[in-house]
Amino acid sequence: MRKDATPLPCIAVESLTGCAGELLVILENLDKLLPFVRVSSFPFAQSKNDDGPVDIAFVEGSVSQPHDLEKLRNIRAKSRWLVAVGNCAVWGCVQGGACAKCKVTDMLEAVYGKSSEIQVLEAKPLDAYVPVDVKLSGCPINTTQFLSVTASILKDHLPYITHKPVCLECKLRENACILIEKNLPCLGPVTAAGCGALCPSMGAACYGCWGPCQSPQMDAMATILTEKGYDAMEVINRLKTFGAPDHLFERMSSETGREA
Amino acid sequence: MSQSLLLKKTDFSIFFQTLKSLGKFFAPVRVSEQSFSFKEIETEAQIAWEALRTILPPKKFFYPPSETLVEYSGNEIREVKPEMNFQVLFGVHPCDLAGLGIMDTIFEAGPADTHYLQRRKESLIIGLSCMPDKYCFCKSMGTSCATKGYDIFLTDLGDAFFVQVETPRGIESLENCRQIFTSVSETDKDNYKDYWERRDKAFTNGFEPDNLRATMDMEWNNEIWDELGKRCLSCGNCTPVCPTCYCFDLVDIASLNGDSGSRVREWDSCQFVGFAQVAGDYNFRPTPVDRLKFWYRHKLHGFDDPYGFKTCVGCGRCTVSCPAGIDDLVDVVKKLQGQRESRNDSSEAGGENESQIK
Amino acid sequence: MNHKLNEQTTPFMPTRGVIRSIIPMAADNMLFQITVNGSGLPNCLPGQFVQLWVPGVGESPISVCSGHVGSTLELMVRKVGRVTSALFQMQEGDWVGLRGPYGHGFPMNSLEGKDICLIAGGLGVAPIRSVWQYILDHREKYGRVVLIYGMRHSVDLLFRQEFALLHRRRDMDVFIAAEELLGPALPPVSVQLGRVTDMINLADLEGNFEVAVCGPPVMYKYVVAELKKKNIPESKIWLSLERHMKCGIGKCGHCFIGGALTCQAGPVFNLTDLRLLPEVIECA
Repeated sequence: MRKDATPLPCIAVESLTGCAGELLVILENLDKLLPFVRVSSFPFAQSKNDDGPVDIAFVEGSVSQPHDLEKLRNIRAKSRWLVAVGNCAVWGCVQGGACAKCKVTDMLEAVYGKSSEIQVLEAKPLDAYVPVDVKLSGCPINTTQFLSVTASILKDHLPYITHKPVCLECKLRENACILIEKNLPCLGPVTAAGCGALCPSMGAACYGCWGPCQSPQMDAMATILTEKGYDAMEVINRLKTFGAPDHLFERMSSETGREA
Repeated sequence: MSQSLLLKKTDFSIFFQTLKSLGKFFAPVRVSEQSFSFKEIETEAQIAWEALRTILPPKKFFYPPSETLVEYSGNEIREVKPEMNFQVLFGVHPCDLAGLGIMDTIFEAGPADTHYLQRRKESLIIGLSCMPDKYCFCKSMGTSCATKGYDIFLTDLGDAFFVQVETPRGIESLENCRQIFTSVSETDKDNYKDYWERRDKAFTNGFEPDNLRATMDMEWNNEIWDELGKRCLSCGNCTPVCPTCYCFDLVDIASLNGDSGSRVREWDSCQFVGFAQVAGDYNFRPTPVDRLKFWYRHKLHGFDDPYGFKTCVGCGRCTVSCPAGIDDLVDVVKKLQGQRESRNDSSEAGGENESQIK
Repeated sequence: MNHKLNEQTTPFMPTRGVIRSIIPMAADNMLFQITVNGSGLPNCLPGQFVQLWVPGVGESPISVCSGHVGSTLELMVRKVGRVTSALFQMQEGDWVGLRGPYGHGFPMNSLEGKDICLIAGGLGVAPIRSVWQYILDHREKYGRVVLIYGMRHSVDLLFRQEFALLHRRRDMDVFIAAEELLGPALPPVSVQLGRVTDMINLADLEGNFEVAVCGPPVMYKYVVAELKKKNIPESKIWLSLERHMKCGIGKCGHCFIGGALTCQAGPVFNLTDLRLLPEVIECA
């Protein structure tokens, strides 16, 4: 057991551009963490925050504005472990996916008009700018995973995070396959599990919100969806919605490029 | 020696109630238009008699998808014994019984997997006859008639079941409803033989099983694996649904107090990219082609050592569960066999064998 | 089936071991000496491995690198993954879990009376060390002994002090080679510039040699080719192969080579046996 004299490890829970979903999950589980950590900063949940060094910083949200970047660099500098939590911080999420499809300045103009003074960056995940120690995706993150990952980091151990596809969790729940039985464009085969196959369990197609699984077979996925009658561009759009990076599509684009 | 009895379908309710009083009762139930699942049921009406294959095979009852094996706290390491509830598994078809037989061999081999064997011991298994659909090919794999792995087997004779009791546990389970069983007549025996003859003729799917092992060996470098691998999603659906896929991962779950945690076994799949990866990121099966071919070989060729048997039981689950349509084992075997012949032919005809592969 | 199943322990139950000492060897390599209580693990044969468990992190299959084992095991560990990184944070007196020993090691009994050539590449020296220690403990049972050890950089040399002693022995020939000589020369161990294959070429392997090899996957095919030049038949070449054994007892499926389990049929295979398996790419 921890001796009283030893100070508790410090954590910070910070947010860039995101929906605060991860913050809510962490807040919900804060009572479990509190016996083992001191929360030095969690602006979403407490008003008194300090800016000192921390052992672990959990950061949600993508880098979408210059002040996000400034904040991220400060967090990186003061943290022993930087943990990206949630799809936004790990992959860039829908805002990252959107920036991969159209110019961020065009989007800014379409939403805020020509004379907007809002400063924007192309939405990107944390590791586009700073080294990230642990990436825990989710939309939002899974509570059990979050707690076991935190437990590992508190011991200064690299956590075990599985990146197996949603199909595994879906099969274990013995759902009828959405792709096969309903012909819906389910992205379970290429998406990282952890959600417990939530959408397919409700009869809906997985739309990939946890980001790609390890080594996703994007080209095979596209082939199968186009065979089901989905338009090739629509398929690629769908696959890229949640920020899956371009390099996962290299083989596909080179092949479609040859055909064109 | 097994004991043969007859059970009128009108008396099935009594049989059902008797079995249900023994423990948790599991049977196939319908979960969608095309799919079934072994679930705990309360009433006889829930049984989906028409079910041929459930999404997950019965291995899940003995080898759960996730189970804690060991816990530690401070300096203590402690085994977590499996929670034991007597279970009745009803409606297990011959392919699945063969599958359980293969699982038994793997987990019984020393050092034996005690958790699996304990659960196996705490179960009563009632087999049930079935008429094949277009995906069944147990006949080609030699697993179409159950010879072991069940306590009681029911053959559907229309208005009655021909009941074969195989084990002392089976005899014991009937004790409280012995009055509904009668001895079998000559006509019953004839009907029984007739049923299995009709069933044998009902197979529309399958391949010539001779030389399957040799075919898998000599076609290891066939182009078909590249064609299939290109479509493979590496989603791993083919493995949890397989009655004989037993591969697993062992992972540690640490507790926040830093002083305790558990070691958990989880089903894994050889189709996932990390399966054959070693430290330093060297991967022995980096591509979907490598992984799919490995799985096919394990199913249709079997072990090189030490067991030597094939591990496919012909249930057709992989075929119906593959979103990419590449787990049509029968089709693949036929292509492998066909191509071998056409290759011989083509030595004169001039290499037209390419057209054999779609 | 056995009626006493309930009293039987799962084979996944580790035995507790205590880290007695941690000896740094080279960058990211440490030798762990671990003591197992009383009737803990049975003696290990050269080439066998154990599952080393760091509680809360996971298990890792590690070759036993000591040939004479009582209650203390020696494990040479390189920091390459989650488990080994966590192990490197541990201290003397901390406890770990051990299961095993598992697998078939080198066939020390059937090698008796033969000349022995031991070839190690990099961390592959760990299981090979258990072989030479075993041979030196039973020196009269074996003929000539040739030991070849190669590595990328000379600073990565493991067991330096032990090699200093081996160099002085008259009853074995020792060849040590590095592809690059880095850092100060550290006598009395003389490291030559070159590869394992160059050393095989230099060595006198005339006689009735059996060869034991362990190294990184890429090494085997070059070593086998070189041994063939020396007229060593395949039936006399024994290779220790690396796969990720997760259970060690033939159940988890991770270490399959074709249809053979590395943790059961191996990790030490005779080359002729490997010729019968698909998926053995390294020594083709």
